[in-house]
Amino acid sequence: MKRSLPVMPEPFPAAFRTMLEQVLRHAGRVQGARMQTMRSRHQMLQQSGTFVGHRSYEKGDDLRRIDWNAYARTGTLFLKLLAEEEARAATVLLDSSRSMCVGVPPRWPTAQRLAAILGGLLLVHLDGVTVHSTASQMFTGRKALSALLDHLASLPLVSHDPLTAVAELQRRRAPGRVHWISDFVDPGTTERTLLRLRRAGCRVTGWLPTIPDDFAIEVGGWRMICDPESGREVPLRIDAALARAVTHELSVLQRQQQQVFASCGFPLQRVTLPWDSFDAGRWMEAGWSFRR
Amino acid sequence: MELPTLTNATQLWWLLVLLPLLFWLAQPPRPRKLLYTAHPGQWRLAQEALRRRPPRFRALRWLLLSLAALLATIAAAEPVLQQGLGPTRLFVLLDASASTGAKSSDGESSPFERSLAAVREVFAALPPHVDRDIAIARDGAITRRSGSAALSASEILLPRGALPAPLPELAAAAVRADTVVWTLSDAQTPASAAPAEGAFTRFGGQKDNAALASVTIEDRWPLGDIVLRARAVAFSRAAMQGTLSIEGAVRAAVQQPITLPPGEPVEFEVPLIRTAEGGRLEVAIRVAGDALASDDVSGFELPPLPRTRIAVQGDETGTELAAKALAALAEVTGGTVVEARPGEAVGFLLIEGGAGGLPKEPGPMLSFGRSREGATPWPLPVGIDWKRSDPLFAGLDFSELSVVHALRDSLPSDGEPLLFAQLPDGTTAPLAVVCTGANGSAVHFAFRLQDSNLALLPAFPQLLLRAYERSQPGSRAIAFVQQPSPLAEADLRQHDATLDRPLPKFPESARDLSPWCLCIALALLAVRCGLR
Repeated sequence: MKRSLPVMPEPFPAAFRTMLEQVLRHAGRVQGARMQTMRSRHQMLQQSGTFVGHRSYEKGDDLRRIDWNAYARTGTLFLKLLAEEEARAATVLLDSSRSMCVGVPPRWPTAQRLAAILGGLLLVHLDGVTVHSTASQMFTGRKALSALLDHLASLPLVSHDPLTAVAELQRRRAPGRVHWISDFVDPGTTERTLLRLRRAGCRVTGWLPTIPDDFAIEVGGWRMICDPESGREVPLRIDAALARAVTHELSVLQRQQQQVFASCGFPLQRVTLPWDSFDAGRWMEAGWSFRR
Repeated sequence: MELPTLTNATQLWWLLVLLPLLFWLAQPPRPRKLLYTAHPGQWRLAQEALRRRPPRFRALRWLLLSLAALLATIAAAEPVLQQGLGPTRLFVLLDASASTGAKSSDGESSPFERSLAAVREVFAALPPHVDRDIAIARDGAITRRSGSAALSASEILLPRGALPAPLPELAAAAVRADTVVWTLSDAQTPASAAPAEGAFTRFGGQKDNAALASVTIEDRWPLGDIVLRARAVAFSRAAMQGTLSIEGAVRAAVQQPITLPPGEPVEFEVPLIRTAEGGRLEVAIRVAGDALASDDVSGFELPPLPRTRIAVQGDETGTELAAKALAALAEVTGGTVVEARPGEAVGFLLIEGGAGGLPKEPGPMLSFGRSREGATPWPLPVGIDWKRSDPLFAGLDFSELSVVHALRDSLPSDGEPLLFAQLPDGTTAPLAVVCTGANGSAVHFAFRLQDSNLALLPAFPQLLLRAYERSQPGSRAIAFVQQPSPLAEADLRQHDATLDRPLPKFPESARDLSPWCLCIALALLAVRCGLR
């Protein structure tokens, strides 16, 4: 009989939502030159889209977008509105398996907050974001941030196969840039999934929200070790030798994860987010980065 | 093949506790603290690297431990394996009737004593697995005992009375497939004849015996005279001579020589005078060569005689009639008339007239016309009737009784009315009542003797004597306290001549399997300890 999982804390308290707005406003500065380059490309691409109409000029608008022919005919400044040929968007693949609930603090709220920040940045800088966990849902526009947070907060913790999720993304023709947030505890499955995504032409960035249990185990006497995925329980006495051995195996796992992503040509980001503080400065100094 | 049997099978109840307890103890420890991990594979690899395995329930280890506990419990239940077939129970039917207590004049032990010795000897030699039951038949009942300590109870070692049933019937009722019935008897009476079933051993032989067949006492209470009639019989080949002894609550003990012809009862009649205090009276015959003493003695308990000091108390008008009546009563009962004075202890008080009421506690008393406060004159009471069912007035005729005048409401209200008179309004009122208390009874009349013709009636002497008898406290019955043995047990001239039948051979002692069970249990424990 499987145990009921521990109760997860509220992932998006009001303090986090406030902090998220600040992060999204200052994300450009945080991202540095790499993001500036992408923005200029974005502007240039917008000059070559399909004409869809005019709107009145407002102070501060880019002078290059003024339709001078219309000005010549009417004497009033108008801006040309151009639509791109393809909407530029990305996909956040969020692992909501039961193994994400472990750790103190637990990994799952951290993963939800990371997905919220990634999704928010994608909504600000791109046309939309598709969040896929047990099901897919697309969000477009800056105003969809609140709906995105609500969707992330309502996701259940259920076991699912990432290969199945990738197949579902392919069936839905989801955008090719995939931000995969997971614990990557099974390097074999991770490698198969990455190879399938690469064959499909996707570019993947791996995001691993870290917890202290990913690096070391403390000596703790008799413990019932429980696998939340299978529900299997093993009574063990965690002495120093066993703690050292497990810590060693965890370091091996980290190397395997790095090797898998490196062999597939994709980056893997280990992210350690502050748990007990919602200060935007600390969050932006956490060391994570975003690439489209 | 004979299967082992458990001597103390109740020990198996321990299994109900042991097996669940062992199962519970065999469960792996269940830590209270829970640790969720996303890396079960890394935990497993770490354990493999350290060559560790988590504690878990091992069915084989638990099975071995349970088997060891089962065998230890069986060992506690003392399993035995029978060595061959044969009876496993010895039922001893012991004749303890009065005749088995007979002893010869040379002082040899009685048949009952020899029977007990034989039973003890056989019990000591029996294999331990053979159950021992003993039934001692005596005095109309059977006393059952079991186990090797059955003969240690001292109260069963005295022969007494007659058998409750013939020994053949008792032996037949005890026969079972696995039981040997062993009857020990003197076979002196038809009831104690040898049964057809089982083993039989006879003790004792032909003996001469004299017995008291019956003793009766003719009581002349309240007089001290008694007549004792005793019948004695000699069961012998020749006449037996001895003494009839009467001792105890009589003024003079009697030692009377007697001669008892063989087989013929002889009756002796002895007049005696009992003592006023009463007590035990023992009648016995002492005859030379008598084998059985328990049938020679008979005992009685004589109640004390009533007090013989008789007093009369009267008023100034005279007690002439009352004094004459008391003199006659004293003559009949052998008592003496004394003067009634304060503090004088008397056995019977007669009151004629006077005033001042009656004592609250009834005692041996007969009063006539005692006046008390509230009493009213009652001239010429008519329509006299009496209670004919009462022993005091039964058979007496008071139809000629005439009373000049009486006193109404002078009698105690709690008395039982015996004599009635009709009132003018048609109702009746008592003229005499009897009151009973712990110190005796009192009979009260509502008129004086001199105011009636009661003293002239033929029934008056009998009424006076009955009132005297009834007023005396205590029981007047003479009680048997020691009965001689039944006469059927007294004839020791050996009716049955059946030969003895020996006991069959019991199988050897069963083999005790407890050590083997313990050894196997230890071996299983050793195997369990070596099992990883």
